[in-house]
Amino acid sequence: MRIECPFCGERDHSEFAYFGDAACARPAPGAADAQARFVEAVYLRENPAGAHRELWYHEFGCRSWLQVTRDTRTHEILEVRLARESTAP
Amino acid sequence: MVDPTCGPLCAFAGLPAIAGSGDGVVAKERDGLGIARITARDRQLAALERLVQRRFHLLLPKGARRTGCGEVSLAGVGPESWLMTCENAGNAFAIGLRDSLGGPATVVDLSDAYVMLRLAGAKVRETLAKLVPVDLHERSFQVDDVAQTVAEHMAVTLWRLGDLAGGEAVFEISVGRSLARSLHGAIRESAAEFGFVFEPA
Repeated sequence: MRIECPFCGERDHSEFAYFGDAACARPAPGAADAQARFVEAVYLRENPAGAHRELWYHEFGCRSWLQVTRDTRTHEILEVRLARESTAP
Repeated sequence: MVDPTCGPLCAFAGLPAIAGSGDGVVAKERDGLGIARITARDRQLAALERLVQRRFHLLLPKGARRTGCGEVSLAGVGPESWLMTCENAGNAFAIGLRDSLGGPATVVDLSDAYVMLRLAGAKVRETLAKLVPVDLHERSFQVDDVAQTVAEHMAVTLWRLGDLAGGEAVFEISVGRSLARSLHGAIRESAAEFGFVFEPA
């Protein structure tokens, strides 16, 4: 699997570290239903068969956080952008 | 064993100077370099660009590219982040940079953190191809291209300088100081079949 880093170009996935779901937002800790929301955020994750938005760190490259959209069935990389330039989640 | 009389500056002390026969790869230690990483502060990129241009007559390279003017060079190593080097300047370089660029940029002195080798020779590409997972063909990795990648699991920064008069490619590779001996070993072993010559500082 290769990931097209927006800064470095196409690199082998061994240069990257996988972090996890990019679509998962941290709930507001002060909210009245904070506990229920945190349980949901920590344990109830989407597990799509198909496009999945996730965070990768280009550790052995430019050390940027990337937001990668990957097809979980084929490992096809559909989109890569710098996480700092992303508005998601 | 490390020569205890050598002092802390000799990261490559006591290492074999040749391997195999011939000079397919010639590695020269880059000594006395001032090395600093500069990163633009939030929304300060334009101000940093102006300062660098005024102070060093250089444009900040876009992407993973390098540029140089006189003794100073700039290499893109991340978004809005550059590795700056200056010949024979040592730690004083970063101290000076902090004064001149410290407003719009963070400046970190890496002169003692990294060691650098200049690699030349007819077989330098064949040797590096064994070490780094980056296409180093002359059309793919052009003069002044920069790559941060791994060589034998060591995080390295690699760039290509202008070719020599005979058309021979020249690269510089840097690694954390504590990995200097490992990088030397990796290059030496990979270059042995072509002949390896090491020129310490």
